[in-house]
Amino acid sequence: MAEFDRVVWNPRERPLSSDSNREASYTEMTLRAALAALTTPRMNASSPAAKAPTPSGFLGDGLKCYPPDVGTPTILPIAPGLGFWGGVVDAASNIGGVLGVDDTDTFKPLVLSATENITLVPNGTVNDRVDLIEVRYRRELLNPTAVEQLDPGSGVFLPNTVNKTLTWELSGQQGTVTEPALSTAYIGYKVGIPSGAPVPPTLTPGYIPLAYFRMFALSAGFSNPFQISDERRLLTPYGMQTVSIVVSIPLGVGGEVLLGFDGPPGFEPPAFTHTSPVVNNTLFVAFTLHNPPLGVGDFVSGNRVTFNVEMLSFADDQYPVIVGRSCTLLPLLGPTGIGTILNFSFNAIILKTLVAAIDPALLLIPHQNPTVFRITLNYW
Amino acid sequence: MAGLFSREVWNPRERPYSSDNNREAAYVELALRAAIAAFTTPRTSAANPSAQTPVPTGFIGEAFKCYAPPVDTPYILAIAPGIGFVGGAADAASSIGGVIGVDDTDTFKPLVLSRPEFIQIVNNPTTLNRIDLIEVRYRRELVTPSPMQTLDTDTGIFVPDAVRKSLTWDCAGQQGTVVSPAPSTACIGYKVGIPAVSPTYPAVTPGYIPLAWFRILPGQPGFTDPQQITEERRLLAPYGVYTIAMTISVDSTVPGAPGVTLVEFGAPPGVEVPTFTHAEPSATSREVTCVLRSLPLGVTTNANRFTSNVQVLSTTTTAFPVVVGRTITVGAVTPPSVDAIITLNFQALILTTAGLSLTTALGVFGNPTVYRITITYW
Repeated sequence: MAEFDRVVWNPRERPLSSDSNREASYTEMTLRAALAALTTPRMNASSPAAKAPTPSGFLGDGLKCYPPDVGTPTILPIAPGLGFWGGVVDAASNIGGVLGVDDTDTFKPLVLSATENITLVPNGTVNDRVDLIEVRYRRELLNPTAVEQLDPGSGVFLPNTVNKTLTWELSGQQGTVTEPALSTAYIGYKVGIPSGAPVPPTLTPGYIPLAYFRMFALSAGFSNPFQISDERRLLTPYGMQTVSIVVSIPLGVGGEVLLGFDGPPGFEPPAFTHTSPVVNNTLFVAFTLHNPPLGVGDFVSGNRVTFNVEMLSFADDQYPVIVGRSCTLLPLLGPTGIGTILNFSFNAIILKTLVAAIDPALLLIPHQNPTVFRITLNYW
Repeated sequence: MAGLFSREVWNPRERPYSSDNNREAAYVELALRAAIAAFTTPRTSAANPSAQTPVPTGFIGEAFKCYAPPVDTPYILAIAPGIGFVGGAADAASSIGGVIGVDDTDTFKPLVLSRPEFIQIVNNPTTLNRIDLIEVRYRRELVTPSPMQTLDTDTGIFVPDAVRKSLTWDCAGQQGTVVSPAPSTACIGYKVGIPAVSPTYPAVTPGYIPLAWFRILPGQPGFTDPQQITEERRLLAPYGVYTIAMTISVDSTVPGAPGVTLVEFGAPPGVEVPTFTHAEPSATSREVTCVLRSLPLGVTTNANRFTSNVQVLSTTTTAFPVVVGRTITVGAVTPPSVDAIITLNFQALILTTAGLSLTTALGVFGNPTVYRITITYW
């Protein structure tokens, strides 16, 4: 079987259920293979081959674990959507004994059709705890239905009940266990062990992590949205993506305003800080992206980000010069949270031309208040 | 056939026809192909925002990429498995093989290779260079003969019969070798060129698209240099636009290419790793040259279809690097390469602030200096 193969029904051929099932299997395999190929990154910097096995990933905010709302801090919602578990060595044929119901592709769907709410287990101890949400794919025959089925002995169709749907749906399929027990439900909530230095629960074999989150001592739920770490990897064309930001920076302390943010769904908006330009009229700006959906252990370096910053000039004789200073990925495992943050910083000055001739002592002039920066990030 | 995303409908108690099943499969495939085509088709031109017509041919990632042979088997060229599409194929087929409903009306034809294909290179015993070609066409063939039962309309009884049960596009194992100017006939054609002092490229067989050309040197059974091959595929990307990004570290104390380290490289699968060199035009300026080989841009490459941005990370709060891109060029090919190369060249200097003015002297670079480069092309 290869992608884009089709089952052929020849004229007057006796119809077989296996042909219909196989046609559906072919179609789904082709769709999955095309999606996998379009979203698979290269192997690494030095090899142009496609990454193998195909990595897991999620479309937009599909299956993203959001921090609970302030009004319901004990309910953690998982967003509906699609994901795929890549590189799964689990080729099944004739699932449930039904000929042609096959699943030979290694890119397995993770499907959640409605928001799944997880009720958090309170932490009544005096130590912090780290919990885990993990998931596995479903692939199950269901929807028992009364049909008529041929009795080959009599040649008569007789009433019978059979499963009519192969589903990957995870909705309502959740369960809670406490570390070190293994999850068994498709969406597993694994409660960690409180400790002075809590460690994340072990991932159950056959599962992939969606999120880790910290439950503070003597708490029933969330008090800080940064308690959670998004462990998903976003599916994007060839694993590369762009984020664009427009921000207004005043000259005083604080007051940064995010005027525009265009990243794929699932990205948390950036947080800014800046230092008032009292030294050499230089403006120092820093910003942070919390928990970018870059995959567990897949994104390990600030060297996998390029970024450009632009400032619009507001006069004919004024020339902004901007320099990027750092782009780092930091683990955030301290007492206030868990996860990763991408930190960026840049400096900006404005040169002013004084006369028509070149003047070596170009004057540095104050920034406009506020100053608007346009930032583009590319990462992979 | 009705429009995209049409479905065949089976009404209650309707007599089942094989053509209904076949047509349903054709509908689904038509919709999938059209969606991929629409999502990956570039605009017509800089001045025209309409989608390019006919839809151009392209490949997903490294699919059908011809890799230069490894050193230990220099005469075995590997073609990577995957999916590509021949665009704008004016070949609408209905009732393929006489089977009603087995239709293929879309112009975006799948090129499928389900496993790596290995090509045995024909040696070149002459004293002259030779340029060979790998080309491909789509397959679309009824296969898998199977024992089935077919209705005998005279007796009303199903009787044993042998019919072909699959329509396939898989090119695996479908290779053949010819010598130019003979046309290829196999789905994957290896066309051996004519040795000459100035060898010419074998002509692409009508109905085929080129995957790669490569040069075989005199007296050689295979490759001696990975740059003997040129990529002729075009990468499928959203609307034909894609970005590559890289981080490099330049050690000014080590002249030339050895002084540049590729720290990170982000690009679609199938894009070869760039090479670098650097120089110091003056004591206070740096020049870096980046060479990209065999980009999967299709047969025609134009330097005006690139944009680039370069950033230098500063190590102090008073140093402001200024980077200027100098050139992006499509290089001429020189033997033994048959490769088109893209060269990106830029220079950098550092301004230093002191008080409310710049110092008269230009600043000093840190060593090594880290550059972050983004290239977008289409």
